[in-house]
Amino acid sequence: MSGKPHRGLQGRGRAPRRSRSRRSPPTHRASGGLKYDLASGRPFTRDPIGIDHAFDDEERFNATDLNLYAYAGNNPQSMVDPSGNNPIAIGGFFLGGGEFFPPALIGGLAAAAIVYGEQGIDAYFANLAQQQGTITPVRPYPSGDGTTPPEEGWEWHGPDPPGGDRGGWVNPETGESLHPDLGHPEPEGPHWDWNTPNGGRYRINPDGSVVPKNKKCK
Amino acid sequence: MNTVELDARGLDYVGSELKVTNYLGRLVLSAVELAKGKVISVIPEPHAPDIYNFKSGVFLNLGRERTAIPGGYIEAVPSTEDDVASWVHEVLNSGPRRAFVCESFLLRASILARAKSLPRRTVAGGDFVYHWSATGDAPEDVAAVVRMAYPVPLGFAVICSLPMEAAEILEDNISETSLSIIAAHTDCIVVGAYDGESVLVWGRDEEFRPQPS
Repeated sequence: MSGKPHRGLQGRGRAPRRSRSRRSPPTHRASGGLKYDLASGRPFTRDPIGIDHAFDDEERFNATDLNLYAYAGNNPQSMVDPSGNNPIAIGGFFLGGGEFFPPALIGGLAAAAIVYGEQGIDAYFANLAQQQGTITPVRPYPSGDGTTPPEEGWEWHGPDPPGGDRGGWVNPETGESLHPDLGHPEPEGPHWDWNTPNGGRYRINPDGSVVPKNKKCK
Repeated sequence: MNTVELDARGLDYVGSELKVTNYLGRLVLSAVELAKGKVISVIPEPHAPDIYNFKSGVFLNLGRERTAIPGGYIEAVPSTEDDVASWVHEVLNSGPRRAFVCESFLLRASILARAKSLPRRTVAGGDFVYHWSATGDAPEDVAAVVRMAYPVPLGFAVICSLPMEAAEILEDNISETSLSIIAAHTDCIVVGAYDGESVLVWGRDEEFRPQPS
């Protein structure tokens, strides 16, 4: 990026894409960001449209008002998205931390799937929603070394070359960004920093855990 | 609010962050004599292990209990965001025509028509994106902008005392002239620190520096 400002309001010449709905189904991962119900082999996919509409100004999410399984006839266990256009909702898994736990969060919905099964996950979310009113979004750990976009259509912004310290990948459709911090020393160690458009900030760890940085500790 | 006055390392960090901002920070660096102010670290707890390690998230590793679940964990995460937002709101309302202006490091003007959930007062300035609030704004509107000053890899905002109403220069797309006015009237600089967990605040004088409470 040039240091010279005010070059006008042109875009960057790349057509934006709805990367959320066009991602290929990932393979099963044992830890964090689980994409498939281990029992059925079918994806636990949640409706990204529903997710978009469920955020409030606090980057919180009201699970009780939302049916994230609507795309598949409300039954992701027995139905799949026949179009294949919506196999996985990126960022579409939600686990929450809340004030009934030490406030904060969790990674690895995989775990919840393993432990609770599908009904258990629903029950888990319902429990979270009931107890704290909100839950926190989880994004899977991006693959790659930071020099390539985490998903199709994301643009690198910043003075450093892609993957560098001063810059990050931005989804032009949503305004969210991902900054690769893969050389971060311990104790945090390598991670990605995920910023949502309204100021939500999360650390995504290689083990799939996603830790919010701005939840009030009480 | 827990605050610690930093030594010259704090000034160095603020200066180094301003140098790599998109535009406004570099204007501010030219307009403000950093050495005439002081830098305060805002921390979520009275004792932090290494407040001079500005690039690491020191507050997540204070020995709190982690509750393990298969595949992940739950961890208490502190935040200074609410305290800083309250303080900024108070400063904005302690004088006339004050504004809090945040320059986004990663967002670009081309996304404004598409991205949802950005703070209500978000405008373009050339290619870049600015969020702002001003004297008289509701606390929640101020807080929405304050949280935009934290993100990694670079959070940056200023409080300025303007010679005109903030809306006159900030309501529509911001011009270079307006950004120069903001820089010239900067009283306080906020930069992200600790891997997005908190901020450092440079204040021209005590009125523009957070105090312990």
